[in-house]
Amino acid sequence: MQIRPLTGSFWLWGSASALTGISLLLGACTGPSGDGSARTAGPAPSSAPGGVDTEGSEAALTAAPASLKRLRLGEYQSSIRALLGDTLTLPSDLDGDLARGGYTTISAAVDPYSSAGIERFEAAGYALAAQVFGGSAADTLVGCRPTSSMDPCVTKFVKDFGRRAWRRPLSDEELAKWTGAVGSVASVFDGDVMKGLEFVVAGLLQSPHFLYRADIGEPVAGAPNLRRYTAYEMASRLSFVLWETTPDDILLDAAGAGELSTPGGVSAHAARMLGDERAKPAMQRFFSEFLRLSDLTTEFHPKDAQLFPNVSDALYASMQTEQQLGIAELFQTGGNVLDLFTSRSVYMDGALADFYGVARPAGPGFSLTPLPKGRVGYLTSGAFLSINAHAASSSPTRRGVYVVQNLMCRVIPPPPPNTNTTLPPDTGATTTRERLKAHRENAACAGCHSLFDPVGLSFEHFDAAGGYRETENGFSIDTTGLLDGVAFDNPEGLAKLLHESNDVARCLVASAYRYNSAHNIEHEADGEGATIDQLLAAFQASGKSYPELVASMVQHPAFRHATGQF
Amino acid sequence: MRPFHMNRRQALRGALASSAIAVGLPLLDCMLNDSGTALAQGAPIPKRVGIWFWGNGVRPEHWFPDAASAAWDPALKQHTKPLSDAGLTEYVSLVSGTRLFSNHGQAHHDGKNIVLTGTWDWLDGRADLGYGRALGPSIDRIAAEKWKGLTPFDSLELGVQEGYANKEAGNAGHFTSTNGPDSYNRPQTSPHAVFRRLFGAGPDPSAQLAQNVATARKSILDAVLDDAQKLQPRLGVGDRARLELHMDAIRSLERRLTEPPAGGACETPLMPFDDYPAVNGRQPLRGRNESMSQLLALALACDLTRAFTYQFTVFQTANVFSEVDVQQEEFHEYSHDPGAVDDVRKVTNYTMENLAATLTALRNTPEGDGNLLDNCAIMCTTEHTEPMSHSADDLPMIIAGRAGGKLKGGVYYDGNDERISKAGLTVMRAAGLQIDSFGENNEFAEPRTTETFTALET
Repeated sequence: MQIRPLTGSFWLWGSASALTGISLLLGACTGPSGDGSARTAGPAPSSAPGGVDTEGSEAALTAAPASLKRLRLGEYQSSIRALLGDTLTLPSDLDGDLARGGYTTISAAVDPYSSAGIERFEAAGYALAAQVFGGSAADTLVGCRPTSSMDPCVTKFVKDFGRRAWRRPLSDEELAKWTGAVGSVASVFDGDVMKGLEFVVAGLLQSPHFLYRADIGEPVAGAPNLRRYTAYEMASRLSFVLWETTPDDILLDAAGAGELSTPGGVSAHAARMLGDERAKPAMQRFFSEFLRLSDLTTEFHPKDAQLFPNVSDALYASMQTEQQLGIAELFQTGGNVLDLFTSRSVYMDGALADFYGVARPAGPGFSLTPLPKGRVGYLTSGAFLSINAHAASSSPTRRGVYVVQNLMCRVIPPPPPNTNTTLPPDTGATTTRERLKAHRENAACAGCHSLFDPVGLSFEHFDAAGGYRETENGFSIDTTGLLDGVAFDNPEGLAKLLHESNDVARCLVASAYRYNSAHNIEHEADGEGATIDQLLAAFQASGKSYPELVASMVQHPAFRHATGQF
Repeated sequence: MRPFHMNRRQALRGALASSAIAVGLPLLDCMLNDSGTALAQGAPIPKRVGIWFWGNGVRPEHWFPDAASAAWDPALKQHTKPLSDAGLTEYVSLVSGTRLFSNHGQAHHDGKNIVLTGTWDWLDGRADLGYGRALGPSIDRIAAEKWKGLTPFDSLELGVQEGYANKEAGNAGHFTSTNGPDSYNRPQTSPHAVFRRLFGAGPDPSAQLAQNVATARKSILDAVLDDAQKLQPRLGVGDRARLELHMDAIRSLERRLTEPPAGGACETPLMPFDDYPAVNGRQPLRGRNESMSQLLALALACDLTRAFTYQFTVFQTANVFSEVDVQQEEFHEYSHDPGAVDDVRKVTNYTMENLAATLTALRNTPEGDGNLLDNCAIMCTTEHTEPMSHSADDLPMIIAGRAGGKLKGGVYYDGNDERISKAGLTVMRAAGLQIDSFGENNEFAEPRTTETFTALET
């Protein structure tokens, strides 16, 4: 798809209401309470003439604070490949990613590396450098055969490789230090300069300047509480958000030429990058985390083997692929991402066709295949239904909570202390809807459960593993439900409500902002609600295109600035 | 030939530098004084402090003694009977009747954080903020900070179950070892990886080459450390602390590289431990626990560290206990069910057998005129009392080890509504740490704990 650089300015859209699409904070489920002010947006930014974000107009902006971001494992790997070549054997023992609030990017901005993990980065640096310097690749990488550590080509190599590895030019002091290290290592190995270069490559790859993205920014005149990211920091922000890898030479050169210091320059490069296939995996990863797909494994979602003998990691993997291909299609077309909820056809392989009870698609692999009657979109997918269920039984509560909490960004408190959350056992004498009666009739439960049980009960035609059932224990199934007081007949009715829901759209925008700014929701309380409202307006105007949303986000002043001083 | 002279530190270097290592003969006699009660240099045998953690509580009727008594006989209840069966009665004490002091019933989260760190911020119970967090470090990290630089590793984080809590794959807030707010240390759960980390296991280059490589690595680490030091002041407060942890890891690596290798002491065999990886998603915890317990004993005996966490299972564990005859589903999920109390009983018995195995590995490691467990103070606990209600008042708590004679062992103490955070202070002080107070609770405006469970102390 083509992404247009935006010509207007976010400052001119400034009238987006702070209350637009506000998500209700449920508190104790009796209405807004506790920190109910959390979603109240800060002051709307003032307009600037001509939409240029001049220094003065930024005083009102609230952005995410600057942070030191660990490279996620995939980012480390893709960066190494970009620096040293595609054919390297990558270390297999590095720590995997963690998540916070469901997002790996937020963990990367908050959590430390483990000390064992840091030691393994040291070993990994040497293992990688040894592969390059053990063969002819070293000549290509270094570009010369220095005979002495004083050879100018040593300095040139450290300078060039350091700029690519650290995503910015080295300072004179850094260059002198690391060039000096070539000599000191070489002297240990009988003057072997290549050995010195090998160790320095390993060193640059274990430096915090490589292992973290240090977004620091520089002061903004007239806005004492704001910092603006430097051009090189913007190159990294664009590259890691859009392509999940280290900036290429085009971006680094653009940063060096000052192009990324202006909104227009950022916009043009974002459009270039979003028009490239390399932007697809980042979109897929966001949706995988937003929809909580990544823990769909039999370890986290085991199913009763007697009842559901067909459940396996292979089937779960197919369910994930189904979603990933649907998301990839939306990347290509730039279509409405909320169509995920209403699509009548999904990508299936043979195993999924068997699961959904439709004819297998011709040929191997996945094809876009019509769903059977009664199924529509993501909320009747094997993935959603399996994740949000128990091992043996469905869970209207989990399914309802997922919709309200994950798709509408509402906060649901945990059950009160010492609550017996166990339902009466399934004796086969009634339906799950009847067994959940206590949730409705016991006032202590109903306050919260009335907000999501009526949503989750609409999925009762689907068992714990997402299979269709016409009846439950011989009883007919009632799929009617209620969302915010609006009645619907079945999952399709719910899907249509969600498709048009401003809360769902805002939740997606807020989540994408949270993910891409690596910034937890608590900061929305500090005034970032205004940014989210502006992005929501852009998202709605684009026909709810995710690539357009990301394009809006990366050129928004909130993405180019940090709040706070150090 | 030079006259043989080896100080203890050099002996330890041998453990780290050599790649083929013989069985741990910890604190060899050559390092000890004649009576075996202190190091030859006059320093006392070091004390160690740690946490042995398991997830998701116990069945109270099989845990707590039926009657008050000053002495504790673990044999009387089936959960604790494995300790008695292993002959550990004189090394373990049980505390009951404590209170957590948390109103909010943040199932799992408040119990874990308060017992491990003495601190708790419930963050309005918001799921998107992780349901709350610790405000300060766990006892292993307090010890690591106090003892920083004394041993090659300031602390070790070991684990047996690989994984996370229920339905939250990859959640960073689930680990036992805690640095402070929103900062947790991931445990290593592969015995082979731990072995390589502790003892190295690369190809054995010639001594000269190894020395050259170590020298070169050291100069690279110096440059990396310098990068970090210059970056640090440019960062915000939280990021400075994260980078400080990073620098601690580099300094620890440097310590292990700079002191010259020497032959001898804590030599270990070539990778004697099986790794016990998961098979079809099911984890052989018993075997892995055996390996990891041996590694813990070796690490402590060789004085590679003096502070540790040992996370047998993660809090709110989603593990499927394939080695126990129970429903083949994730544990936390069915532990809510009143119909599953017998499964909870079986899993807890199994967990306590594994605790007994860890303590046995320490007890069977001679040290001076006693054994390693004589010189440890270990808090063995979980995040709530029992999984059906998730109540965390009256938290299961065993204090293991004699802490160089500071702890009695064999005591049953009814805490009579005293704060559970006294447990942490008890083990830290027993291990010789000078700690005035521990923990805080912003919800109850509780002052920091200044008292210990004196009934357990000699």
